[in-house]
Amino acid sequence: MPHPSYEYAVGRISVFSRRMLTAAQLRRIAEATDVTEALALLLETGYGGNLTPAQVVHTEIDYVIRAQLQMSRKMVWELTPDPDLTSLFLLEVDTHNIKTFLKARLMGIEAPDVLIEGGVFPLDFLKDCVYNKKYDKLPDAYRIAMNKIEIDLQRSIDPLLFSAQIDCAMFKHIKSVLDKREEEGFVREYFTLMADFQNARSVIRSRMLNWNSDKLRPMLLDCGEIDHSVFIEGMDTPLEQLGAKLNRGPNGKLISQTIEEYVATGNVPILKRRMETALMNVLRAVKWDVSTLGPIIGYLMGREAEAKALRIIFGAKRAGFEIELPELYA
Amino acid sequence: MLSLGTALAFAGAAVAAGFAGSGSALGVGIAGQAGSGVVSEDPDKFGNVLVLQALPGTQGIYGLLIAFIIVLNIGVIDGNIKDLTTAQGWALFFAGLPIGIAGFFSGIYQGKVCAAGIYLCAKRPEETGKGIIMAAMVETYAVLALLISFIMVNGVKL
Repeated sequence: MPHPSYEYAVGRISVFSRRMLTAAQLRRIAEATDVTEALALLLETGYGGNLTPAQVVHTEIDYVIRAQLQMSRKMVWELTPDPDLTSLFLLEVDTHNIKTFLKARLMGIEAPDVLIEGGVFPLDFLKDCVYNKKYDKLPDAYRIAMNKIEIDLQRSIDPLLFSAQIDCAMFKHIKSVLDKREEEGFVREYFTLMADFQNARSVIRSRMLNWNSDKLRPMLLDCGEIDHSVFIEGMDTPLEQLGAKLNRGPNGKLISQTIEEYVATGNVPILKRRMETALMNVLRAVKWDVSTLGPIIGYLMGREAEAKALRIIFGAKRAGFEIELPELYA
Repeated sequence: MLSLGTALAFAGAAVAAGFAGSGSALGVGIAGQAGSGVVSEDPDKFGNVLVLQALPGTQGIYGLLIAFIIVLNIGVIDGNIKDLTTAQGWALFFAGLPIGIAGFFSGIYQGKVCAAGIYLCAKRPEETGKGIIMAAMVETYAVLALLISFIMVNGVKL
């Protein structure tokens, strides 16, 4: 089947993006008196698609969010003119599903509620791979990582390590696709920034947990601009100098500023927040670049950001504490 | 047997209609794809989308107009084709170039601006007029090319 053109895809996305939640709508939901009112306000906006009130009454907000996300991913997958590059943004879903299947297999349970539809690979296919330990049909990076995990599992079970190995496989695969395509646009910029930021966060986390460099090494992701050796050396660098140490490559300045902000305030979540803002800014810069995947990926990741924001709002509402409204794409 | 001059005049008409028409076809195609995407989700926008999609079609009409004047002047319509000198033929050939070239490029770029206008119309229907104005700015250069082609064609004494 021929893929739709950019013009057609962006035309449809333009209509869909009108249905995304605005900051004002999100604020109204956050200001609702209780969860029921917040849910009603959310459904009024059309969020979640064609869910009937009967379906929603007996369900969790997460059901609504997942329904919306699945619809968005499916729609983007159907209309993207460049499935290769688009698939990179959906790999997080597959990575989550592989981890879930593996954990479920090891624990001898089924975990259908935790699985997410809308990845690159069908759930049945991934289940078949993990339960039969046959990874030949997965991309090379995943196949190698999963076969290694299976061997490691015969000795010991370290959920943190195998989770990190699967994440590393995802970024290895992304890098191989980007290199093969000689992609130098916003897609590379996005994943490079993400890998560098995640690696910087891993250094901070490792230092907080008093890990040594050997424990950090498997956590470091490929695809970044900053060499892994810099992060390893960062483990022994005084915290005040860590920002300057990581100030390398096009993303270095941003990462350095974020780490200095963290050192000054001691606020750990700021690392993630600054990363999300920076990634969103990459997508915003190509929002109107209609002959690229920019608007399409922007819509997809905007929906993901919206879902995160809703989870935070509803979680805070249930727990009864105030939150700062998360950032949106729109 | 046609003279070289007459053949060159034919080539001028072909360039004017062919290139300008191709630019329009590409431009209308680009805008049409964007329009189909929008209308597939929001059929109520068809009216606005149609206006924006039609705009890049004018270059083809301008090209046809110049080509028609050229073939009319050399007597193709009434069946008495004139024997033109080589200089007259070159003059008519060059007269067809401005609308041919400007029509081709402006058609494509107007199509892109119209596609952007269609996205604007999908997101903010109340701003459709601005999308049309921006697309019309590209039209200016096709009109200028039409004008100079017209003056040149009429300047050739046969």
